[in-house]
Order: sequence, then C-alpha cells, then structure tokens
Amino acid sequence: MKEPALNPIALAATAACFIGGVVLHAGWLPWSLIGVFAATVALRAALGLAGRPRAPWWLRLGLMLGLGWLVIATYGNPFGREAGSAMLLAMLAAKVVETHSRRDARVVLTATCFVAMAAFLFDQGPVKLLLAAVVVVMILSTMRLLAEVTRPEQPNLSLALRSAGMKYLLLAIPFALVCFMLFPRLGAPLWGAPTDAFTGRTGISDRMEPGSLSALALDDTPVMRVSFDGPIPPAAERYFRGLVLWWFDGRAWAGTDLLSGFNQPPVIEGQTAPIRYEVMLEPTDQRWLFMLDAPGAAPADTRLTGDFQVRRDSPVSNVLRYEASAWTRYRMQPELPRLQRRLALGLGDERNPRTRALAQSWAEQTGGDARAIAQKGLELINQDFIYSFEPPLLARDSIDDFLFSTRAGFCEHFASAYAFLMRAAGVPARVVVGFQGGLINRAGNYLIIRRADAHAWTEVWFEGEGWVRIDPTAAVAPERISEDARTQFDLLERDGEASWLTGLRERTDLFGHWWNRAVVEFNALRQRQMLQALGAPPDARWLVVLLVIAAFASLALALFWLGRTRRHQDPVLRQWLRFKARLQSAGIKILPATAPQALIQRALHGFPDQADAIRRIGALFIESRYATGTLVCARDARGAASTMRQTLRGFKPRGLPASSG
Amino acid sequence: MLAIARPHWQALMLWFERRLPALTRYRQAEALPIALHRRRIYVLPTGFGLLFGSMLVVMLLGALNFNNNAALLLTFALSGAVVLSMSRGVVMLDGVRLAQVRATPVHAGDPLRIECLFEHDSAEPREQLLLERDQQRLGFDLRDGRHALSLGLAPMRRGLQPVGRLTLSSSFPFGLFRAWSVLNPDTSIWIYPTPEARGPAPLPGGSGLASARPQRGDDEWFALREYRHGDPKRLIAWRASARSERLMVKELVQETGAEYQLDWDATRGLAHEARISRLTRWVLDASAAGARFALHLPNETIGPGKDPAHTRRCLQALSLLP
Repeated sequence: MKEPALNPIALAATAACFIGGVVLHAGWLPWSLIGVFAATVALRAALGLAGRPRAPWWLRLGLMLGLGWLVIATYGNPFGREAGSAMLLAMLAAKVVETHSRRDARVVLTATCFVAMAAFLFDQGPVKLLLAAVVVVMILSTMRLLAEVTRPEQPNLSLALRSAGMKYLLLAIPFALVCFMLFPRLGAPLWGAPTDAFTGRTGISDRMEPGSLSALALDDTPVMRVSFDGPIPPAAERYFRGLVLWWFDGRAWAGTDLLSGFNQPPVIEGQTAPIRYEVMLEPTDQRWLFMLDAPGAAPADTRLTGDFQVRRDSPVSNVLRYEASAWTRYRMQPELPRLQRRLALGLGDERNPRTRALAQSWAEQTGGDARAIAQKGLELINQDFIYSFEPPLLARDSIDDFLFSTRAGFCEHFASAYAFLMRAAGVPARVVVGFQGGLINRAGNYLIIRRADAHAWTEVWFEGEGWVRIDPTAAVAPERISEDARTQFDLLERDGEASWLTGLRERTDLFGHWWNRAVVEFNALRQRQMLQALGAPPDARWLVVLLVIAAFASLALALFWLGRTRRHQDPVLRQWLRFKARLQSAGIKILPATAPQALIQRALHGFPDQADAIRRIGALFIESRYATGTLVCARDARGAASTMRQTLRGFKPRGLPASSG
Repeated sequence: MLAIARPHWQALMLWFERRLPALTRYRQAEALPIALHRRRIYVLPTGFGLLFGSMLVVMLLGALNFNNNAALLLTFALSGAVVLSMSRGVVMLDGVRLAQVRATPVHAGDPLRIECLFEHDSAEPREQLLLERDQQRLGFDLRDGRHALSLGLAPMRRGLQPVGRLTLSSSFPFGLFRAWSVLNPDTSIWIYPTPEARGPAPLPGGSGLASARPQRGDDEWFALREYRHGDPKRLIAWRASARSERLMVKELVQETGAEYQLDWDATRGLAHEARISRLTRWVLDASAAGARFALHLPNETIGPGKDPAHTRRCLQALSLLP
C-alpha cells in the first residue's frame, strides 16, 4: 500500500529530531559537517516549500554518496567512534532529505534514538543526559504526531508534547531508574571498543620526551578526584604515581614491562600510618592507574608491579572508582636486583657527551658517594635554571643542550636531565610520571587533579635506603610543588575572581563528582554491594528477581497514574453525577445498582417541593442516555447538559423527611 | 495418522475457543450493542514497533557492552515509555460499545453507506480510534461519550446482506502497537436489485391502465421525462425535445384509480437478472407515480398497494429472488 505524503508539520518535527541528534554530537563534530547537516535539512525544507514532497532520485543518490564521501574524506575511514558516528549522522541526513512518507519518518526517528545513544560514547555528563532527554521527548512527540488518526491533516504539536512526549518519558523514569540499578551488568564486554576510543585522554602516555607534559600546562580538564579518609595531605606530599620509565634512548624515556620488575613482588616497608583514599578516575583509555606515592596495596582487579606501578588488564574506558592506601614515609626496595640495577644505569646511545663527562667528574670528586652526587645534581639545577611552560626546542644532544645552553624547561626536562646525570655518575635512577599537587574543592572536601597537574620526577636508589623520590623541579621552582606559593604560580587560577564564582565552580565540580560516583561509575561491583546492603546474597539471580519485582511495580504505578479517573467527559453524565451527589448528601440512599427511574421516584418522594427540577433533570438524563433510534449528536448532549446544570443551580434539597430511607 | 491427530486438534480448538474468543466465538455475528472488553481486544506490535524494539535491543547490548550508564538510562527510559504505551491502545478500546448500526437500503451498484454509533461510559476520553473496513480507515475520538460515523462499504450483491465484520483498532499513542477487536454486528442491509437504467419502461397495462391511453394534445396530463430505449415513437414530445437538448417523452402523470399489474411473465424473453431489473424499474416508476400496483412473482403476488411499505415489500421480494 502506497503511503500518503507526510504532513508538513510532522515532517518538520521529524527533521527537528534529527537536528536534536546532531546537537547531541556537536561537542566533537567538525563545524564543516555540522554545516553540511544543517544544509541538508534546509534542502528538505526548500523542497517542501517548492511543493515537491519527494526529492528526485538523482538528488537522493548523490546526497548519500556525497555525504558518505565527505565523512571518509574527513576521517580517512568510516570506522571507529568518531567516524562511525559521523557516518551514521550523514546517512541519516540523506534519509531526512528523502523522507516523504510516515514510514520514512519512523525510520528516521528510530535511527535518531541510536544517534542519541552514540552521543554518550563521547560524554556521559549530566548536561548531555538532559539534552538527550529533550531529544527523546521530541522523538516520542513526533511518534505521536505520526500515529494521529483522527485529524492527521492538522497535527497538534503542543498536545503531542504534553500528552505523549513529556508524559510518557516522565512516567518511564521510575522504570528506567529501577532497571538502571538492577539490570545485571556484563562482567566483560561482548566485543571490543571502537578503534579510536584510545586517544590518550589524560595526555600522559608511556613515552616522555621534551615537551610532552608542558603541552598540558594550560589544560584545565579534570583527570581524577580524590577523597581522603583523613585530612588532605599537604601539596608537597601529593605525588600521584603513574608510570615508571626505565628506558632512555638519548632523547625520550619509555616504560618497559620486561625487565623493570614487572613480574617481581613489590617490596616496601611503610614508616607511617597509611593514608586511605578513594579515587574517581575519568576515562584514560590506558591500562595504568594513578596512586598516591607510595602505594601500599593494589585496588581490586589490578596488580602492583615491582616498581610500584598499578596495572589493569583492560583500559580505563569509563569512569573508574578505586580505593587505595599510601605511605608518605617508606623504604622502597632496599635490595636492587642486578638486572634492574643495570637497567637503572642505562644511558641509551652515545649522545650527550658533555653531561656524561660532567657526571663522571662528580663521581670521581665524591668517590662514588651516591648521596653527594645527588646533592651535586640538585645544586647544578638550583643555579640559574628557568622553569618555563614554553621551553625552547632542543638540539640532538637534548640534555647537553638543556643543561649547558637553553637552561629553561618544564618538569620533564628537569626529571630527564637529572636522571641522566645520576645514571652517568653511576647512581641508579628512573623517571616517574604522574600528577602532583591538585586543587582542593572546599565545597566537597576533595582533591581535583587536572591535566595541568601532570608532572615528572625522579627516583634515585641509595644503598640501604632503597628508591628515594627526588624532584628536581622542586629545586628550581618550589612554588610548583608547595601549596603556599601555588596561587601566584598557577596559571589556571583566576586572578581577582569573585569568591562566589569560585564557590560556584567548586559546586559545579562537586556535582560532576557526585554524578560520576552515582551514575557513570555504577557497575557490577556496586550492584553486588547494593545487594549486600539489602541483605541479599550478591548473586545475579537475586538481581533479576528484584529487577522483575521492581520493574513491574514501577510500571504498575505508572499505568495506574495513566488510567486514574479524571472528571467525566460526558457532560450529561457529569451533571447527573452532581445531581446524585446532592441527593446523597441530602440523605437519599443510593446504591450503585439503583436505576435512574427509581432514583427519580425516590427523589420526588423525598422532595416534592423540588419536583419540577427533579423531573426535568431525570427526563434529560434518560432522554440522552437511553433514547434509542435517534442518533444523539454531541451538540444535543451539550445542550442537555447545560440545561441540567442550570436546573441544578436552583436544586437545593434540604431536610429529608424521616419516611424516605 | 489423521485419526490420531484429530482429538488433539479438537482439544487445541477448544483451547482456542476458551482462550482466544476473538479468533473464534466473536467471529460470529452478535446482537447490538456490542461492548468491547479486555478479553476480546488483542494487541500486537506494528511493523514500526518491531523496528523500534529491535533498535532498543541493539541499544541495550551496546550500552551494556561499553558499560555506558548514561546510554543504559536512555535505553531504559525509552523502553519504559514503549512498555507503558503497549496497553494504552487496549485502554482506548476497552468499554467502547458499538450501539447502533444503521443502513439505508440501496440498490445494488449504488454507493453503500452504513452509519455506526459508538458509545462509552467511562470517564476517560477514548481517543485515536480507527474503524477499518475493506480499504477504508476512519479515525475518530469519543470525547463526549458517543460518536456517530458513516462508513462506505464495498458493493454487495442484491438481497439481505449482513454488514459484515468491522475492525475497531487503536495504535495510540505512538503507533508501536495495534490493539484491535473485530466487531461483527448481526445487522443486515437490504440491497435492492439494480433498476433497469434504460429500456422500454412503459408500465405494463393492467386494469385501469389500458383505458388510460394518453389523449393527444392535452399536455396537462403528461409529465416529460428522458427518452429510454424502446419507448414508443408516438410518446415522443417533439416540441419539448426541440427546446431541450435531449429527446423527451410524455409520461402519464398520476392517474387516480389506475392500477398496474407488474407481472414477472410480462418480462419473458429477457435474461433472469434483466427481468428482475425491469420489474424493479417498474416498481420504482409506479411508486413514483403514486399509483396502485401489484407485483406478480413466480411464487407470490404482492399487493396491490400504493404506500411506501408496499413498495418496500415489493423491492425486498425482488431482491430475494433466486
């Protein structure tokens, strides 16, 4: 059966749903694509205004091919998260142009639901969810418009919004929450994440070269939020250890899993009471976690390596919550195995001869005293080095160039040069990359670590003491590390910002933190904890039982609300019920089964003075209800109702005689 | 083999009879009013519903796979809305009554319409109801408790024909599910035979008619009507025809006391249906002329009479002829 052309309003609503889908993706879509999508919608509108409900076939084919080509030209391939979503939107845009029947519009709406879901692969924030809810309301309302059978030629948009879109979404919220909490989550994914999901989101990768961290200095994006059981430790102790880099190739540092003690048990001896804390880590798409130095034990589902990195089997592609403990005073690995010692002395290729010579001269002067060599290194850096966010580019012998000519660098330059100096002087050293410092959110009393807090420092091994953290950046720019001087230093701190604005920012971040904890990070583990809190065994079967019960209850509640009795629509019946109510309150007994005729007889008997009114109302009701053979149209019914209403105005039964009961 | 299967088949049909009355019992004609209730309203997803449902399954799998909680919330919210909408169509139909069906008799081949009156008593308005019959779909709301609508039917053969099955359905609110119930009122429509359109239609002479030969020149006794094939030439009103574009013939206006004998045998030589058609035409003409007439059919004679009831009886008898 050929479907008739779509009503213009319904068509416009469908196109609006598509635009809503594009808006959900606007955060990452290139402006060129957004422009093209807007142009396709405009094209559809122009076709409609030109009186061509249906686009010609060459236009439809050309658009589909052209839009597909545009996406592939932009991304290089149609796969992956961004390219895939862009391709989906492009094909949907082509479909919008060819939409001319109800069937097409329904296909567009269905696909838009998927588009809305895909938007959450990029961002699961509360604002995005709110926007998606608006799009869902639009989709449901348009579905209602398309299903209109009574007046398909004049769709009522506001009625559809109120009585379908918003109403059903609101009623579905309890069901959605129940399912959200109780629907069993997958322990392991069924298939892999999109190929481009792993674009280093913290900015920290397992390779550090000059410039890789200073690029983040102005990036305000939160990486993690840390709540401490006790007071928040001072800034100088807030080193969050991420990666340990052993390999140096003459320019860049890299991690290694093979020899660095990855398979060795961690050896540590804490000297203070451990600090307990909880981390909400934003997605990093990397396999390591950031731990307050030095980590005491690995969180669940992770392992602590011999060089105190915490690794997971799968990348952190979602907000991750973990609890951990740390010692700020400790003795780490007092015995250094031979292989690791050799690794910690590696100097890469033959580059940086001047630095090597300098380090060797120190070793000779001090007679190989590691402590003294470390002190000499700090003194050198303390001289007249400049801490800079935009360090000059370095030549081939990058450390020579840095130490002897440019003398300006960011933390990775100092850490790299210092570790190289130590190694060249025969002292085992390694570079640690992670975060340091962070901002305290006073509203929520937690620590926010931003990308700008990315930091690199060194660890030097001393006989008998083990690995000791030495941060050469602290020597050149102590304000980078300690709390007091921080405000002058932090480029991200807003000068003279009103305190209420700061408070607002803190509260916004607090809400984001709460959102991450309550919604984004909810997973199988939290479900098990929830079950335990309810006293049920932490078993997926219990979850299903609870889910079924709660889902049915929430649906029943919503259905009850939908089906609740509102005032009678039949005007005659409404007046009749008012009449009955008055008689009842005047003392006439009325059973549900009392027939109208009997009721009228009783009323006449009870209130002979009101006989006229009673007769008129009765006659009108019986006439309009039970008259057969004539088709009473709505207008007659309204007329009868208004007469009944007028009559009721003067109908005041009082003082029922005792005889009538 | 079949003998073994038969008891099982019967048991199955009994079960159907018990569980799915709309598929069996309610297919029989019922007396009006027909009230719909939940046991005879059925719901199935539409094509769109199936498409949307599969999309929800895909979304659920995707959201679970990436453990993407926001996507999961979105999917569950949409699913909730869909599940809530499932029963709304049933609610819209529940309690609706087909109170009356009226059908004016028509001649076979004429446009055929029935008028249906739907009612309901409950407080909730009934919206987005769709009455379906053949290729026709009429949407309506029952806001004031009742709604009358007129439905065209496909042509039917002459006789007393049952109105047949109507389907009342609702896809409220999203078009994802269709709730429906089949209404089979026991109302029948008289379909009179098609009157002969053109042909020799002088009423056959009977007592009184034979003597009432038209008198030439006395125009007051005549009415003019269009020429039909087979009219005698002497009846052509040449002067009137010259004035109008068409060929007109004179026809006897009402003549009191005239009585026509409309006889089956007088139509000998024509095909069976053509004879019925001619008699129908004669009945109509006689009735229009206000004359008394009697209809002689092979197995009965009706009349004579001249009131509308008589005409109706004659037409009914004609339409029931084998």
